[in-house]
Amino acid sequence: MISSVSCPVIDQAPAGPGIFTIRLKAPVLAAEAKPGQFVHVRTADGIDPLWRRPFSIHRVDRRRGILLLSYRRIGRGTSLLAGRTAGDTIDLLGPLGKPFDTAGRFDKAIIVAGGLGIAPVPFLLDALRKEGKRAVVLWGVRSKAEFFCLEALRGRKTAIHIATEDGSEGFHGRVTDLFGRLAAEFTAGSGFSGFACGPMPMLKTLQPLAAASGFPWQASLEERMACGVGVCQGCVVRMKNRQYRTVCADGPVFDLAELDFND
Amino acid sequence: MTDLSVRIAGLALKNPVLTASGTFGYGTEYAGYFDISLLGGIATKTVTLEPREGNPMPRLAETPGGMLNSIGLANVGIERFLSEKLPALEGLDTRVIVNVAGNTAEEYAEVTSRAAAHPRVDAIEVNVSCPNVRHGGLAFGTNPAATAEVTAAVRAATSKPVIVKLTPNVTDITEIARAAEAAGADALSLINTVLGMAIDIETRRPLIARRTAGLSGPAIKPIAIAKVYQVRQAVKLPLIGIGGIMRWQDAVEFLLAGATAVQTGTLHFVEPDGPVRVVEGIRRYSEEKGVASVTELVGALSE
Ligand SMILES: Cc1cc2nc3c(=O)[nH]c(=O)nc-3n(C[C@H](O)[C@H](O)[C@H](O)COP(=O)(O)OP(=O)(O)OC[C@H]3O[C@@H](n4cnc5c(N)ncnc54)[C@H](O)[C@@H]3O)c2cc1C
Ligand SMILES: Cc1cc2nc3c(=O)[nH]c(=O)nc-3n(C[C@H](O)[C@H](O)[C@H](O)COP(=O)(O)O)c2cc1C
Ligand code: FES
Repeated sequence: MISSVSCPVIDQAPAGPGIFTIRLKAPVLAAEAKPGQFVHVRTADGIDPLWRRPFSIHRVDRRRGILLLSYRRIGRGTSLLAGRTAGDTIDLLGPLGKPFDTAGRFDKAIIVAGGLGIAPVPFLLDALRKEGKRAVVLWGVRSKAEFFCLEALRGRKTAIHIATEDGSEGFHGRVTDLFGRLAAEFTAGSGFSGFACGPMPMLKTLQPLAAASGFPWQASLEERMACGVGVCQGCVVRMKNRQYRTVCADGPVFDLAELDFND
Repeated sequence: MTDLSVRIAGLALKNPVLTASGTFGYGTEYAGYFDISLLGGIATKTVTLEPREGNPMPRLAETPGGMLNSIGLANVGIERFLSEKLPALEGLDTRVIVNVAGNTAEEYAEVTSRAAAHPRVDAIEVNVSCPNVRHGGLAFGTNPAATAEVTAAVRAATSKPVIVKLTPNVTDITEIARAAEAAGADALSLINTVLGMAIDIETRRPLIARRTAGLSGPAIKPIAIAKVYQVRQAVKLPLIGIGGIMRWQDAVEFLLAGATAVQTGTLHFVEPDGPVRVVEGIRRYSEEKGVASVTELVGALSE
C-alpha cells in the first residue's frame, strides 16, 4: 500500500558537486519499493514550496530498512532537503509509479543514463544481480566532476563505460553517441534488454538507435509533478497511439518505442 | 459532542468537508491513503459527454503560495465514467457529487440525466467556471443569462440536488449567483480557479502551454472568502466554500463567512489525507467553543 510516512534522517553526505545522498529510515518503503519507482517528498513544513518533489529511489537496504535518495541541489526544494540532518524527519509519499521490469526473458541489460538519470541505476543493478543478470552501464555527464556513486555501479557482473561532453574523462561526446559507437556489440537475439534514464532530449535521440538495436527498451521519464499519484492529470506524456499517459502513475517507466517525442 | 452534520439542499452530509472537482480524481485514487468514508462527500473530476484528452503540456506551474493548472477537463467521458469509475464508489459511506460540463446547455443536461439516473450519484455540480477550455466552462459562468440557461437545463434533467459552481473571474459574482438561484439551483459552490499567468523571463515563454491558466491554493483564499461573503448577502441558497483551504482554520473561516460546507482541492497534492485533518480540526474547534451543531458557525460573524 502507498502511504505518506514520516521518515527519520539517518545521515546525509555530499556525493559530488552540489549532489547529495540522503539515507532515511523507512522500513516499509524499503521493503516494498522496486527499482524505477519514486517517492514524493515534502521538502517544506509550510507552503514554500507548495508541491512535494519527486525523487527516484536510489537504493534500498531491506535488511536494515533504509532508503537512499541522490539528488542535485537546483532550487528551493532541494536546498531545503540538503539542509536536513540526522534526527530530522521527512514526509515521504510512496513507493510511487510503475517500476522497471527486471524479470523479463533477457540475461544482459544495457543501461543508458544521462546526468542525474543515474539516480535509480544502483537499485536497478541490485535487482538485476539478484536475477542473475549481467549489465553494461553507459553513463554520460557534461564534465568528469559530475560523476558520483561510481563504486555502486561497478561490481560483480557489471561493466561501466563513461562519456563526458567536454572530454575530461572517458568517451568524448554524449552518451547516445557512445551507445551508437558500441551498438554493434549489442545485437538482437542474444538476450539483451535496454534501460534508459535521463532527460527528454537524450531519450528522444536514443529512440531511433534503440529501435535499430532490435531488442526492447524501457525508459524512465521526468516531468514536473503536483499530485504524483495520477489524480491531477498535470504530468502527461504523448504516446505513439496519440493518447496521453501520466508520468507519475502510468510511468515513470514506459516502453521507449511507444513514446511520441514530437508532440 | 458537536453535531458535524449539515444539509445542502436536502442532502445530508455527515460533516461539512468535501473534496473539490479535479483534485480527487474519480474518488478512488486516494482510497489507498485513508478512509474516504470519513469525509462529508466527494466531487468527481468534471465529466463531459465525450472523452476529452485535455490541453497540451506544460499544464502545471508552481507559483508563490499556489499553482497554475491548465488541465482542460481531461476526462474519460460519461460512458466510461458510469461503467468503469462509478461502480468503485459503490461501498463508500460518503456523498458522491458528479461535476458536469458541456459545450452547450443541452450537453450539460444530457450528462446530468445520465449521471443522475445512477442511484450512487447523490447530487450534480455544474461547472460553468473552468478557465481552461474554449467552449463551455467560463463562457457560461461569466454571463448571467448563459448561467441561467445551463442551470435551467440541468434542473430540468434531474430531481437530485443541483449545485452550480461559480467563477471569481467576473465583475460582480452576485449577479451570476442570483441568475443561478432564479433558474432553479439548489446550492452554489465557489470559487473555481482564478485566471492567472506566469512567464519564464529567460525564455520569455509562458510557463503554461495555453498561456493563461487557473490559479488555486492558499494564494486565492482571501479572494474566495470575500466572494462567499458577498454571495451570502445576495442569495438564500446554501453555499459551499472553496479556495486555498490548507488547514482546518481556513475551513472555519469559510463557515464564518457564510458557507454551509467546504471543499478542499490543492491541499490533497500536499497532504492526501489533509481533508480528514480538516474535519478533525473543525470538530475540536467546535467543541472548544461549545458549539452544539456546526451549522451555528455558518455566517456567524461578530458584529
Ligand atoms: C519521477 C522523477 C524522479 C526524479 N528523480 C530525481 C533524482 O533521483 N535526483 C534528482 O536530483 N532529481 C530527480 N528528479 C528531479 C527533481 O524532482 C527536481 O530536481 C526537483 O523537483 C527540483 O526541485 P527544487 O525545488 O529544488 O527546484 P525548483 O526551485 O522547483 O526549480 C529550480 C530550477 O530547476 C528547474 N528544474 C526543476 N525540476 C527540474 C527537472 N526535473 N529537470 C530539469 N530542471 C528542473 C526549474 O525549471 C528551475 O529552473 C526527479 C523527477 C521526477 C519526475
Ligand atoms: C489540477 C486541478 C484540476 C481541476 N479540475 C477541475 C475540474 O475538472 N472541474 C472543476 O469544476 N474544478 C476543477 N478545479 C478547481 C477546483 O475544484 C477548485 O475549485 C480550485 O482548485 C480552488 O480550490 P483550492 O484552492 O482548494 O484548490 C481544478 C483544480 C486543480 C488544481
Ligand atoms: S502529477 Fe498529478 S497526474 Fe501526475
